[in-house]
Formats: sequence, structure tokens, C-alpha cells
Amino acid sequence: MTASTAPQDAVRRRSAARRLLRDPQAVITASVLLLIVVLGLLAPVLTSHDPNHASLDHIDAGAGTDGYPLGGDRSGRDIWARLLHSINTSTVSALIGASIALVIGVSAGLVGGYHDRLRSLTEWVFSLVMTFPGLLLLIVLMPLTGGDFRTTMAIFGVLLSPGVYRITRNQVLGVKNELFVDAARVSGLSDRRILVRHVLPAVRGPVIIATAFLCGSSIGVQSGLAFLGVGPATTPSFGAMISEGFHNLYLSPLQFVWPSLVLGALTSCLVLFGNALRDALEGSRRRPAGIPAPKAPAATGAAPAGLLAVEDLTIAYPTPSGELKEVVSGVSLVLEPGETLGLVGESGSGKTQTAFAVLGVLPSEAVVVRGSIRLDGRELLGLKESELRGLRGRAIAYVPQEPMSNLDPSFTVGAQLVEGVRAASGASRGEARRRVLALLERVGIPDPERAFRSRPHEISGGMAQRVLIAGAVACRPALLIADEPTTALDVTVQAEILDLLRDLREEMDMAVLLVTHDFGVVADVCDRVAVMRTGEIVETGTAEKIFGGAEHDYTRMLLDSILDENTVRGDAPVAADEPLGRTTTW
Amino acid sequence: MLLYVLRRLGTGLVLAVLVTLITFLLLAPSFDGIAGNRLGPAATPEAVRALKAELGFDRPLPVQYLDWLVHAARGDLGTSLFTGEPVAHTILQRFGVTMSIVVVALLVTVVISVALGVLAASRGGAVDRVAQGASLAGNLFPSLLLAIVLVYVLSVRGDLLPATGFTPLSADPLRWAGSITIPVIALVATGIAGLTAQVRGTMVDELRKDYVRTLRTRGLSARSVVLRHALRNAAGPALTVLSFEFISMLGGALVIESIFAIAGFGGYAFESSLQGDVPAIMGITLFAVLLVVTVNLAVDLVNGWLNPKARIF
Amino acid sequence: MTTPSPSVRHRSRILAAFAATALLTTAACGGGSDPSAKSEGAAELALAVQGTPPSFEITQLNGGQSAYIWSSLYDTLLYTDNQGRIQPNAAESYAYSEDRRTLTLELRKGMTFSSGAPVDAAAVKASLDRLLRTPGPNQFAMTAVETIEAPDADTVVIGLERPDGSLLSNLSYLNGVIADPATMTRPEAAADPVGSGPYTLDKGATVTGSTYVLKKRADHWNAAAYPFETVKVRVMTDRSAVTNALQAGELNAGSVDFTQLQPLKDKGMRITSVKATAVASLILADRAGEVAEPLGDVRVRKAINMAFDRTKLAETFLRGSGQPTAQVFNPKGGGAHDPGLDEAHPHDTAAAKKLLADAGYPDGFPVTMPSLAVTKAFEPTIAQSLADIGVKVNWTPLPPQQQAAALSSKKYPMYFILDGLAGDAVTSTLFFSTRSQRNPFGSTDPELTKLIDAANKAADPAAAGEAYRKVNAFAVDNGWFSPVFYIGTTWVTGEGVVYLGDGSSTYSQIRAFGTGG
Repeated sequence: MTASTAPQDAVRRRSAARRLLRDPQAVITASVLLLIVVLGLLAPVLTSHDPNHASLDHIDAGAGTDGYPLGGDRSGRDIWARLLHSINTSTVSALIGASIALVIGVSAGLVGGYHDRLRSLTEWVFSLVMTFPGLLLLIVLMPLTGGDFRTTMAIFGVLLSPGVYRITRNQVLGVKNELFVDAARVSGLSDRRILVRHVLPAVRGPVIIATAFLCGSSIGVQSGLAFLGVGPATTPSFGAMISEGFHNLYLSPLQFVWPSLVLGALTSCLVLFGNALRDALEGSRRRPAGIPAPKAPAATGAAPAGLLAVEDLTIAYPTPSGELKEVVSGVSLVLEPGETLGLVGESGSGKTQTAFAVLGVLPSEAVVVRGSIRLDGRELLGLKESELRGLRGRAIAYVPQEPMSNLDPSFTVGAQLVEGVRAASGASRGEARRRVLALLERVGIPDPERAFRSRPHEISGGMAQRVLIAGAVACRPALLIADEPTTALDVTVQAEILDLLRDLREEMDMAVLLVTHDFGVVADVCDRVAVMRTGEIVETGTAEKIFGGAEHDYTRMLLDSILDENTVRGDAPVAADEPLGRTTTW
Repeated sequence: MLLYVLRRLGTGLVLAVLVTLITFLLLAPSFDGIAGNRLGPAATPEAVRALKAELGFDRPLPVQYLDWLVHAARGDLGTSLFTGEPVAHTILQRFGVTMSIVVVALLVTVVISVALGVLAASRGGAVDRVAQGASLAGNLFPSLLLAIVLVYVLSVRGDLLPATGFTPLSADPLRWAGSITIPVIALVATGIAGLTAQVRGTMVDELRKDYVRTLRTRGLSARSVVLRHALRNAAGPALTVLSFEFISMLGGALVIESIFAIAGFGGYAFESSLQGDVPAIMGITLFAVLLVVTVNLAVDLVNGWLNPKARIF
Repeated sequence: MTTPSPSVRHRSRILAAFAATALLTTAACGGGSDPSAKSEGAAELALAVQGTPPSFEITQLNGGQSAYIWSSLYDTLLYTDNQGRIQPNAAESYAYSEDRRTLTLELRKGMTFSSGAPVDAAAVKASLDRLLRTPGPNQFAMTAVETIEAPDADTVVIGLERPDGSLLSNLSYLNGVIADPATMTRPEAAADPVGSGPYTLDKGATVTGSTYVLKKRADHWNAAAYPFETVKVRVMTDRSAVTNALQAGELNAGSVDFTQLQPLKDKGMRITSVKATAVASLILADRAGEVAEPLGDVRVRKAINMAFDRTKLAETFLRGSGQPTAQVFNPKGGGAHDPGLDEAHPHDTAAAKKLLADAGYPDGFPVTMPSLAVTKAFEPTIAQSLADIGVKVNWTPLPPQQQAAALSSKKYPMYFILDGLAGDAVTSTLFFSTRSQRNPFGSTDPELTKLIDAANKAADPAAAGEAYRKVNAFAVDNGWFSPVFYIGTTWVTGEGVVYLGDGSSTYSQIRAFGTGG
């Protein structure tokens, strides 16, 4: 898995840049920022006046006075020239303040968050920096800085760094113990590589917003100090201009408006651009939620038989270039009550997307192009979220692949299960609690009371998967969708979990849609099998038939790989019951 | 846990000593000037010397600092060089004034930012953009101008709210509310953008996590998934940003304080450091350090409670 | 006030009503409004000052706007009236000896401190002694004082080392303050002063640094001279706060920046402008050329004086709120001011450049000047005028806490500063004393010393005025300074309140406000 991340990262980054270019918010704010910065750089060309040239003939001159496009200020200086030069002051302030804060904060945050032993040292240093009362310090230091804004901003950058440090450190702490770092660690990667490869990307989002914020604060503080009159009058600054304009508010309000406007545009665009950049890097959806209704239900008349009937289901995602790319194409499935259907395919074959479509939890940028999904004859596509909610938990339930990430880390196991039971069945709190405890016992958890009180990070992966199964079957759903329920688990645990699923299916008479890439699992529990490749079903049949004599080459190829795969899996260097795996994306 | 808190507070005290010591050393070169300032333009060198002796500025620096530290440990921060008021008393009084504005402003900021951030993150699309835009209204419409316009409309023309001044909450809750309304609006306008961006960002991350989908499949309402689960997990980083905003609002209230002629903490810190009021600067520094230490500790404790995995104790 | 005329009574009632509404709308701290304040005939003056008043301990007082507070709490021995004349006050009479080295003051009888203790010669002596011996901003004004004696309960005799022309003026202000000796040395004196003035500080309603509430003493010997029952002084560091508060009726007196007058004019408030309350000048301090060689040449100093188009600066930059000047003395300070001197160095860039060339600086010269918080707004304009003749100013920000030390050292050969105007004698001390911050290089000149001595010995105001005019002329002729303009103050008062000053008195005393309208 580690070997594949590098090219994936590169792809992700490239597509992030493309996404950014396609986001009007990013494009507009970046253009405004660029425009402002360029205006500042072109100041010597765009104005003939020195920003400090005070002409008695242009005191409070109106806009458009000869050679003074925006008029003169209270000393008769060219407001246009001062505005342009103030941009440069702000740009330099942002660059100095933000870069110093970032370099110090991020590097120390990574080190301090990752290395438990170094953390006490970094905590110490940053507590010291953080506790300095900034404004006071900047003023007390004036004799040393001479009020020069560059020195002041450098000091301010140091003062800002604890914020970056804390955000980084918190993120690192949050992700450090997550699976992929553990996995990376056992696979023998160096700390530095883990930090750069795995931890840094996780930290990136919050730090990027923070960067926009840091630039904004540096500009803000520089202007603020200038507004208060700290620093030389000869440095053109929005703060000084706003202060002077504010003073002249009753005489010529525009003097106040110009710098406020540019400063406001600058800081606002920084925030908006930071948001957009962050969305692009993290691949946030930009479309409204809600699953669009299919164009036309394919059902032509006779309602198909079965508990679940999927017909001609086609799901697509918009590509950065704006076209739709199909990830599921014309999939049709039928699942009878009590039956177990194995949906088999390699990752990326569209099986998880199909399962999500049935659950109604496709990512919001997904588009259901056409098709129909019926549960007990009722069309699910196009149902409102509230209508779907009535079905979830009771009629359809879901067991995810990755046990740890599917539990809310902040709530105890019991609390989140109780909430689900109550949402699906309307049971009272006490009743729901009794049911959850009974279920926990049923799914084979040795000390249900203790598990009930535990938080997700306090239980093992196998136990977490049992908890998730308990959560799914709590309200005796008619259909259970299990998405690779054992893939993330250790081999010995895999078998137990499969046994549990089989027992529960019989006990509750559930139909099970088992999404898996593993024919071993299929052989264990499935009545029928549907094989998917690149979004299409290539072969369907009973388990006996598929194992007996698969017709499709692809199926045969998959079958052939069972043996190899099991060998690989068995050798995986994973401590017993330690979760390993990765979340598949569709 | 208790041990952790005690250790952190102990660390805080050591920090306080270090920071005040550094501040003291930074101030020391200005002692002559400060004495001269108090004496005015016609000060003679002899008078400056005499005043320095009277103020104890002529003693060796370590002695001066230790003397200050010993007194500070007993709660005596000395008296201001310029007003002659006990520093500790002034700090508490001024801090109370600013706090009663900042706390309200912060609460309003949190409510609005969380609402906008959650809305932007969970709805996406046009709602997202509108919410982001709304959070920036304060940037585009500078709070100074907002304050002046509000004062004009509500105080000068409307006679509804006072244009300047502050009434303590204890003296008259209604008039207190009136006196802080416009300052709070002005403070909130500048504070929303940062926090909204943070809430929105972390909420977007949270909402894409696996557990959110799983919770949805159990039939939980979108409201519960977003507000109870995702928001709680997003609260950590937002809280950190909030704590910065709190600290910066205390200092940043300065401009608002001065426009509304409110004698607050920001103004006290600014004025004292400009004048070189050594006991006041030292007292304010000490107070600020202890305040930051306390706020950070509180943030870490709440963060640990919100996200047990990130517990650093 | 005991028997007000009908018109005053009428106005007072309006004011009382105003005060009542002000109490409802204003958000003054403390809230402890005394109902008696609204009683018949009461009137409140709600006044804004710009900075936090220093300690009320008598040696720490200053002459800025905060003096409205202390001058109401303490009686001074003498009094400078609104026309600038020195009048008896706590001292019923005063007389100089022939050689002007002994001043005898006869105290008014029956005065009491707010503590109830009598004001007697011993108390006055204790106060003067303290002012003389304690380092403080006003100690320098007592340098000529040699002895202070109290031969009997009502008499104080001040013995001088040499005649001091500014003594009477000083005794009418910062150096004539009388405090209760029983409490004046205690630390509490800083916030809880005990004086014999017409008002006492209402500790309950006062919030240090924000609002000072003064209650009139009915038993004050001169109660009739103070028309306001209550004086509320609010600290407002921001000028627009003053404008807002005046508009909203939360203040009925305040000095307003000339740029913010329009809305107050529109509201029909009373506007009283005093054209000269401070002087903005370049102190050309290094007259011997110790640090900046060019300044040692009188031609250079004259050239600098010629760089400024003072008339135009006053018209455009100050929008007519001030007036041009080439001299540092107060136009109403007693007689030193001579309009003719303003013509000594007329604006002429070409001539100034030629003078510089003659002095050996055809390309001008660079000079480093301190940038101060108070002078910041003026710097671009001042620097421009200097740049026009080739003097290139390099501003270094000077933090306030270092200002005093830096300006009294020889660090800056010339600097730009604003000084509040004062009487001729005080002005002379400030600008010419060899130990003053305005004379950091300690420049002296035998001729000047002779002129100042003569002025100090002058027997009457007219003679003194004549003598100081010569001092003034010396400074202008030798280009010791390059004054640019006087800065004015614009008072805005609400209904029923008038500002009575015209610049003749440069002191901030509450008696400058009267009722009327």
C-alpha cells in the first residue's frame, strides 16, 4: 500500500490544481489577490508621485484632481500612490509574518506531535512564546525594532507560530495513532518518511486555512499597529491611511473608504481563497447534497420479484473537465429474502458504489444517471432523505469495511449504538440500552458492559467490527449490506466474523448483500454471486455454478487468485487483532 | 488528571517568571527615559537621578526583579508610576470591563460562526458560498465604519443606545447591555471570518469520514449526525482558534475601547506600554501570561474530553 | 448661584432636565447618581479630556486637560483669570519686595480642606516644601526658590535666590497647589486627594481612567464662582468619541478636532475657537554645530526658517484653525509676542537655497529627526518643506517611553515638537533654560542671559512684556527655532454651557466654563 501512495498523491495533487482552476471561488479570489499584488508591484509605473510627497495644494483634494486620481490626503499626499505602496507593505508583512510562523510552527508541530519525547520541549518553548502579550511586546520592543514593520512582522511571525504549532500538533496527535501510521511503522518506514508521506498530508488542510489566516493576521496586525500610530509615518500602510481617513471622516469620507476597501478585499480574498484551496486539496464536494432522481425508472411494468431489485443502475462522477465519468454502468441485481448474494470484484469495480446507492449514502457529487433500486417493490431512488431515514436501520442496514474509522471517536460505543437503535426503532433510552447490551453479548463480546462504556480507540479492531455488526442488526433489518466486512481484519478474526454474520443471518432471516473481493469469503457464506468489473456485472449465478464452472474469463482469473491472496494475507506482518487496512475509495 | 492540571499550572508559573523576567530586561534600558517622562520636558539630570533613586530604578537589576517577584507573589503588583493607582486593582477592574464585552462578543461569534460554518460545510454549493461570504461581511465593511454608522443611527439619531461609555453589569444589567451592544457588534464583525473558516474546514473533513456514513445508515437524522457527531469532532481545532481569538480580542478590543471611551484592559495595556509604566507593564504581562496559561489549559482539557484520542495527558 | 437671576434659573432648569436625560442615556460608570444632583438650580458640566489624568498627588500633577480635575479639587495660591491676569485666590494678597527676591502672601481666612482641617500657612508651607523637594514634573519651576517660611498662621514668605518672572504665574497653577499636609504624603493621595478646592472627588461614582465625578462644596469660600453643581470629566482618547458623545448629548463640553466640527455645527452646538493654544516648532538645538555641523551656521538656521510657507500651511493644512508664526511666544502671553517678527524670515525657497549654498551646503544636507506620536500627523508636511530647500529628513520613530531621555540628550540636533502656550516667563524658561529639553545642547549667549535677567527683574507686567519681547527678538534673529504655526483649540459646548476662554489664559481651569448661552 505504501508503494502505491506516491503516484496516487501526485495524481491527487495534479487533479487538485485542476479542481482549483475550475472553482470559480478560487479563480475569482486568486485573481483579485493577484491583481492587488500586481498593482502594488507596478506602483512605480502606475503613479508618478512619491507616496510621501506632501503638496500643500492637494490637501484633502477631491478625487480626480490633476494627477491625483483618488485625491490627496490631509497632508496633500497622493492617495492613489499611498494605496499602491500600502499594498506592498501588506504583501511584505504577510510574507514575513506567515512564512516565519509556518516554518517554525509546522516543523515544530510535526516533531512535537510525532515524537512523544520531544513534545515536552516543544510544548515548553511554544507556551513561552504564546504567553507573551503580543501587542505589549511589540511596543516594548520598539526601541529595538525602531518601529520598522519588517522587523516587527518577523517578531509577530514568531508570536503567531504557537497557533500553527498547536494546530499541527493536534492534527498529528489525532492521526498518529490511526491505522495507516501504525501500518507504515510496522512496515519499516523511517520516521521522516512517515512524517512527510503520511502525517503531513493529514495536517495539510487545517494548516492551509491557517496560512490564509496567518497572512490575514499579519496584514491585520501591521495595519492595526499603523492605525494606532506605532511605526514610522513614512511607511505607507492601510492602517495609517485608515486612521487618517477616520480622522477626516466628516470632511472627506472617501479617504477612509479607499484603504478600508482594499484592505477588506485583501483579507477577505485571502480567507475565501484559503477555503477554496483547502477544498481542492482535500477534494471537498462542491455540489449540493441530495441524490438526484434518475432520469427514468427502467421498470417497464411488471414489478420485478425479490426483496431488492436493482435495475440498470448507472452512477457517474463529474471529472475535473466537467464531463461525467461512469463508475457503475447498467448494473442489475435481484436479492430474495433470506438470500446471501456475493458482489465480487476488484477495488474500483464499482461494487461499493452499488452498495452505497442502495443505502442512499452516495457522496453528494455522485450522479445517478439512470436505473432503479426497489426494496420490497418500493422505488428508493428519488426518495427524500427523511423517507430513506425511515428505512435505514430497520429495512436496510450496513456493516462497513474498516471498523475503526466507522465509529465516532468521541462517543462511547454504547452511546452511538443506543442512538442508532432509538433512531431506527423509537425505543426508550432504557430499552435501547438493554437491547444494545444484549446484542453486544450476542455478537460475542466478552464483557458487554465494559465495551458499552469504552470509546472506540479503547477496543480492538475485531471487537469494533462486532460492535458495528451489532449496530447494523440491532433492529432486525430485512437486508444487510456488508461491505468487505472482514478485509481489514486479521485472518483468525475474519473467520469468526464470517461465522457471526452467517449465524445472525439465519437467526434473523436477513438477506445479505456481501460486497467483497475475496472468493474465499464468497465460498463460505454466499448463495449466489455477481461478479463486477469496471462498473459492469460480467457474470451472475449460484455459488455452486460459479465455483463449478465460471463462464467469464475475469471470474476465472479472480478464482485463480484465491490461493495466492490467502497466502499473502496470512503472511501479513500484523499483530493479532491489530487492525490493518485502508479505506477503499470507490 | 489532577496531577496533569497541577503540572500545567506549575509550568505556567515558571513561564510567568520567565516572561516577566524577559519583559523586565527589555524595559530596563528605558528606565532613564521613563523617569524623564514622568518629570516632563524641563527635567534636570539631577531630578532624573533623584526620581530613579526614589523609584528604586538605581538598584542592581536582579535585586529589582526579585523584589518585584516577591511582592507579586504576595499579590502586590505595586502602584502605577503615573496614576499612583495599585496596579493589581486597576488590572482587575479594567479586565472585568473588557471581559464583559469580549465574552459576549465571543459567544455571539461562536454562535454565528458555527451556524455559518456548519451550514457551509453540510449544504455545499450556493449555500456554502453565501455563508462564506456572510462571514466576511465584517472584513469588507470595516468594523470601525460599522461602529460609527451604528453610533450615528442608534445613538445620535435614535437615542436608543449610548454612544460612549460603559455601565458595569453589576450596576445595571439593562444599561450594561445597552452600553456593550455596539462594541460587541463591532468586535463580532471582525471575529467571525476566521472562526467560520475553521469550523467550515474541519466540518467538511468530518462529514467525509466513514463514521458519518455509518451513522446515517443506522437511521440517524442528518441533524444529529451533523450537529451531535461531526460538530463535536470538529470542535477541537475550532476551539483552538477560538482561544486565539479570545486572547487577541482582549488586546484588539483596544480600538473599540477607545472609540467608545471605555476604560478597558486593551487601553490600559497600550497606554502603559507607551508610557513605560514599569509596574503596570510587569503586572499586565504577569496577568496576561497567567490568563493565556489558564485558557490554553482549559482548551486542552476540553479538547481531550472531546477527542480522547488526542489526549496529551 | 444662591440667588440666581430668572434667566439663569430658567437655563438651569433646562440643564437639570438635560442632566437627567443624560443620566438615563449615558452609560457612565458607577451608576451611583445622586438624586440631589437633579434638584432645583443644579447643573452638570459633562466634559471630555483626552488623556488619563496622572496621580492627584500634588507633585505629580500636570498642566494638560486633566488639570480641569485637579484644579477643581485643589485651591491654588493665586489664580490666572480668563483674561490672563493674575488674581488673588487662596492668597488674598501678595507683594514682592523691592529686589523681587521676597514674595509675601497673605492667606484668606476661614478656608478648610475637604477633610475639615483648616487651610493655614503651615499647610501652604508644607505643600510648597513638598513641591520643592520631591522629584516631579513641576519641580523645575521652583529652582529659584530658596526658602519658604510661615511666620504666622496667615502669612507665607517665599525667598528667592534670584528674581523669577514666572513665579506668580506658577503659583497660580501647578506650583500653587495647597493640599492637606495630614494626607498628602500617603499613597492614597494619588486617587483620594484632600484639597480645599471648590469640588470634591465623588469616589463612589468615579472610575479611575474613565470617569471622574466632582461634587461642588457648598462651603467653599468662592462657591459663587463655580456655577456647576456637578462636573463629570470623561476620559476620551479618541477624538471621534468626543464628537459622538457631544452629538448624543452625553457631553456638554469638549474640545473637538477641526475636521469633525461639521456635524456639531449642524446640530447647533456652540463653537468657540481659540486660534493659538500650542506652538509647533522645529527646535534647531545644535546651535554650535556639535553634532550637525550645518546647524552651527546661522545662515542655515535662517534658511530653514525660510523653508516654510507658514501662511499657506495655516490656511491649508490647518484649515484656518490655527495661525502662522515665526516665534515661540504666546500671542497673548503678556507682551513678548511681536507680529513684526513673523516677517523676519519670509518664505522663499530660492533664497533659502542660496543661503545654504553660501554656508557651504549647495546640495543641502541630511538630518535625522525623531518621530513622536504627537508630531506624526505633521511630519510629511514639515519634511516636505525642508526637502524643498534640500534638507532631507530621516525620521526615526522615538517610542514615548524614551522620548524625554532622547530629547534632552544631544542625540537629535534638531527636532519638531508641539508645546502648549504659556505666559512669557514660563515660555522663556522652557525654551531658554540651559537645562530644558528644548535646549538640549545648553546653548547660551551673554546677550540673551542679560535680556532674561532683565525680564526676571521687571517690576510690572508691562515692563516684563517689553523685556521678553527682546528675548523673543533675539531668538528669532538668531534662528534658534523655526516655529511654523500656532495650533488652535475648538471648544464645543452644549446648551447652557459656554467656554469663556480666549487663549489669554493657557491654563485648564474649570472656571473657563460658565453657564449662559
